[in-house]
Amino acid sequence: MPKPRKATHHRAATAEIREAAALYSAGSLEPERAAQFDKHLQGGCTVCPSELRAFQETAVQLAHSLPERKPPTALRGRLMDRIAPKALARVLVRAGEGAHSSPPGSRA
Amino acid sequence: MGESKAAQLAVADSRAGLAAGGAREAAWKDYVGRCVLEDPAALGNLYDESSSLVYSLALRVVGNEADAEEVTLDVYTQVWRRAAAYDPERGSVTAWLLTIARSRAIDKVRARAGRANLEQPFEESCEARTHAADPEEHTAMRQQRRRILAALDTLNPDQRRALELAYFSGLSHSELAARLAVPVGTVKTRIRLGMMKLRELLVDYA
Repeated sequence: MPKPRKATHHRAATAEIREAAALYSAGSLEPERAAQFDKHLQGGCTVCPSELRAFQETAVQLAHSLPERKPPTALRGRLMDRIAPKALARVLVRAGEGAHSSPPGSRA
Repeated sequence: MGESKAAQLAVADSRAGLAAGGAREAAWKDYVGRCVLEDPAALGNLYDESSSLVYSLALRVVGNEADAEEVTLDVYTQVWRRAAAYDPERGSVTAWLLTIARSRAIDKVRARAGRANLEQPFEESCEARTHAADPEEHTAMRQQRRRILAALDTLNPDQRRALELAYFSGLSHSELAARLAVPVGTVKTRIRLGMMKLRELLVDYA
């Protein structure tokens, strides 16, 4: 008979959960506590993820408080250059598939 | 009308701005989905519409344009490579992008010898905030900025300072406590209360 699993789920958001989620979202939970919280989240709790999501969406609003600054125009080109090899490889693979008349649904 | 009431009204206004934000988020989810299919145009679209937000945060954290550009490139490269890892159940695309950006930016600052940016007085590191916003700033973004600034104005100044310092600097509790010359417990309390108040005021976004 399997041993009963230790409960890792919360039934409702407690003050402790809210504090952990709030501090985690603000980036100020100590690393050890943050690791524990991560582990708990991965354990399948249904309460903490929704609390965390709400606080994370709140925290990122802080970024919206900043004056908007556009990156230099050339940065977009640098990004596209950086991702180009992968995109190009995909095009070549597809071209190769077509050249060999692969049957529908087959993979090279 | 009291300042607090005015701020609450400012936070509560502009349903149109919220709707615009929802439409924007839906479009960004679509772009991420197309990045999974390796569609470079989708990454280009996402970059065009969100890079100002990412770059502004990166610039605020790292304090110089060269590093902010590198962080921005790293963010979208990660989006391209890891688009399949995005889970809409865990948060918005906006939150995903900004969480990556903040993390990358703080890593960049920490990698610098002497952690110069993290150790300088907070007011000096706020220089980026005094830069004029781009005159072509998107209307929805501008409305959203007004809402968060109004919400921040309702916080106790100590809470606001602790919260902004924590979010934009990545300092640990003990470092924050030293910087603010208060006990660690006080730092935690200020951040927690500030976050709870913001969540309450920005519930539409949270």
